[in-house]
Amino acid sequence: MKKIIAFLIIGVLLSGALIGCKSDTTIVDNGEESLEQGEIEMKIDKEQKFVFSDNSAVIGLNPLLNTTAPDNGLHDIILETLVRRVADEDGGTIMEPAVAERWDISQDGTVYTFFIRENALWHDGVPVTAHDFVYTYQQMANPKVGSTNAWLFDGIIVNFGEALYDKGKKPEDIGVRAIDDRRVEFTLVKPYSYFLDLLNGARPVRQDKFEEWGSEYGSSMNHVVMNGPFIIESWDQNVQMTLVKNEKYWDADNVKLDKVVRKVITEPQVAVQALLAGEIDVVRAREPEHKMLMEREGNRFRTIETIVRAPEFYGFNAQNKYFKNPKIRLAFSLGFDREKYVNDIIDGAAVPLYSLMPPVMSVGETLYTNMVKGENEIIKHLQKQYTDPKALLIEGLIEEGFDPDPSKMEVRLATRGTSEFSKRSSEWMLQQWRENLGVTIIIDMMEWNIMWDRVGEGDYDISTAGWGPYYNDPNGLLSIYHPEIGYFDSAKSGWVGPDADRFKELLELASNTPDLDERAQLYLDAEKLLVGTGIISPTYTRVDTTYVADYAKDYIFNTHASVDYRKIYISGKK
Amino acid sequence: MGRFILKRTAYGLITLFLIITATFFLISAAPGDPIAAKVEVMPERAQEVIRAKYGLDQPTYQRYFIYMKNLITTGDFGESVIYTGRSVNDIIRDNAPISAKIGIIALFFQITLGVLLGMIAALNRDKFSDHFIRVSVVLAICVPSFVFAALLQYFIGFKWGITPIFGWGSFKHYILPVAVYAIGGIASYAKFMRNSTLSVMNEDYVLTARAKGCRRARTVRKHIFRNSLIPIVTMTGPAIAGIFAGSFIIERLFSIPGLGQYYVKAVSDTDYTMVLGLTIFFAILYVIALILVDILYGVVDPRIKIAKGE
Repeated sequence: MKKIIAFLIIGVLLSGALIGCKSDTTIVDNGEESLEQGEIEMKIDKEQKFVFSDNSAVIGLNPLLNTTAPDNGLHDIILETLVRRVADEDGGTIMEPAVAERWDISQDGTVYTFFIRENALWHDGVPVTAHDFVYTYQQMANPKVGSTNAWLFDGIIVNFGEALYDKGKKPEDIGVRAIDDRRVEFTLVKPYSYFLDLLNGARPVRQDKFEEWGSEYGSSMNHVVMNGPFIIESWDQNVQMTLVKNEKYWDADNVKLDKVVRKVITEPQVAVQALLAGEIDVVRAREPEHKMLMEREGNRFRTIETIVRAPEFYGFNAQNKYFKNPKIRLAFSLGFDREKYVNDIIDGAAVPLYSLMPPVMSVGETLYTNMVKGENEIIKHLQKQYTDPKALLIEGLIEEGFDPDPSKMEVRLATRGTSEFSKRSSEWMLQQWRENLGVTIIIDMMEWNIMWDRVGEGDYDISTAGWGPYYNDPNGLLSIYHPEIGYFDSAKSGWVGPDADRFKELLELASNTPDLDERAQLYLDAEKLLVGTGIISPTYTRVDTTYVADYAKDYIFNTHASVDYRKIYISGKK
Repeated sequence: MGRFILKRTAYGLITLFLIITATFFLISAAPGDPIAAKVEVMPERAQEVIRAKYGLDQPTYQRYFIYMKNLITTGDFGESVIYTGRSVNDIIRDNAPISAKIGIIALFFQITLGVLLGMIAALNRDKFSDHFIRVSVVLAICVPSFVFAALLQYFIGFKWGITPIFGWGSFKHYILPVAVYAIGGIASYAKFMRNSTLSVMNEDYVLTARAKGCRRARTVRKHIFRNSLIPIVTMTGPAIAGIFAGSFIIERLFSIPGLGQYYVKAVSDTDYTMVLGLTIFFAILYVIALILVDILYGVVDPRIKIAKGE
């Protein structure tokens, strides 16, 4: 029934598109040309207003407590931290000065000193000082505050975790101090090269207002102080938020937009219609039929494709009677066709993964996969080595003293959600494993939070998982399987023994290694343990397609850096 | 009458108490917890810090007593766990009126048009208008509201540009959601009205009236209409309570900031203060609506005596 209705809607949409499409479709243009034209002319429209939509509302404006994806996206516009990672036009990123005009890093890489610019102001005119940052970090380290991002700094900033977990240190003892009003100094436990990326996790609050408003801080637009390029003008939670240029912003002269409007549109098909009707200026389309609609519009829209840095994978419970055997795990990991998966299930809008690392992850400034010369595609190498995963599986079954007939195995796959996608992808896996291994798995459909609960209790065989790292370094992904402090620690993954110990050692070694090539090699060795023994089986990472109205220029982003609204300008809007 | 209302209010309070208690323990027993979405990716010990902050580290019964004490002494539904810094009372105050506005307008059309169509169908039994109305009613009940919404959004909003496709604010924003909201209701009211009118038309007193020489129009007005309204009154009570809850699907499709979206999100997040607060709010409305319906029965059909106790 659902399918029929879906087709009906699609049919209606498509037929309408055909009618709506007049004879001017001869212009074949991917949009890039018109971008160049726009830049040559550099005509800037009188009305500088950019409208975008998100599928969920902003929950709150307290950067310490509200950290869902929509919150982060908005806080990025209204709150500025010390540095800012921005996407450049070649798909890479650069770290730009923000509230800090420059920073020094000590020889051993453990002490960072930031110099705050003179003209950095809060939107009410009060100067942004080093004390604001010290206060923000101290609040985060205070367990009573319950800051959701605090754990990111555990083990990074000196004494941070000890204060947060009440282990003999107080928030005042953490390694963040103000040398004077304009200089703030961070002392790290180790020379973490990705430290600058973590700073985004701590957007600033101001002591006087944080204390005055208490728990109301961030609950409405009148209960927040902002220092970003835009500030909130009006907010109707589930409808829209209007932001205006912050005239007090230190770089206000280079901010071109006067207004940014953020609308809430829950249904993707409504968002597509809204873009076509000119009510919004950008949309991220996932459904093939929506993409088709957009492609038909020719050069009205620019297409931006980005590889997402969040890998999807299956996790095997290494305490399970079968999956404690690496051969059995590997057989499952090798026993399906990733290319086919991407085509059948995700309509090609993904990159198949043979490594846990999506191809966009870097060590320092260089792509990880280039540094290790593609050696990280471990699954590919193993698939060459073990051409018959079923034989490998039977070998494993015999080793463990089971009936060598795979069809007698009883294995359950926990889904992460009960959507059509979860159902379809799990059934696809069932089919593949039946064909390639002779195993018929049992699919346990469950909501994502229930799945995480089950994983937390170690009550699963195979789990459906995915992870978006907080920073652009392989450690951001590998460390989730750290046997002690990772999200999938030994209790959840069931991974113990010499391999797990070695994995932990490698990660710790890497974090102490300043040489980037050496570090990449250590990450590869760690990945060989994690992926190479089948603790997890990477599947794919998504490719997002974004359509931007052609008149909205310099809309640039990638998976490591969100859109920089300061740069966008409107040119040639009818 | 006074005694009746008093008695019903007392029952209502007991009902409320039972609902609150049951909801509290059910939501606590449900898998997942309100901070799951926040802590999804955190290591265990970091999760504990957050849990402690929201008092979720305490045993359920203890949280129940704290909650009840707060509720009875201050009437405060507490602070949402997800929407930090905002009380549930605030969220209800800000969003219930929006759901209610759409709901009341839709309900008005549902009842008037529904009753009208139902009467027309019944009075013209087996004629073209009856068949036409019946087929339309079946269609309107069977086709889900999101399909209507998508069709209206596409044609009226997008292709013809008569109304906005989505959003909230001006008068024009009401048109599509109210139409989608009303359409199913019109159909069910018409269906019930037709059936009850037909059965009333066969009552002895109607035949008597006609036999006495009472004109058809007068029979319909005086004898049939009022008596056929009983099922409509029964349906209206819960519907009035329901309009504040809004329609999740419609609010979602049209991006309307009503209470329905919050309610559904609260349940999926297990944001227990929100779920409890909203449940209590809806339960109060429901209890009041039911008392009103009981009173209305007497007005519509004097044969139903409410004050049996007197």
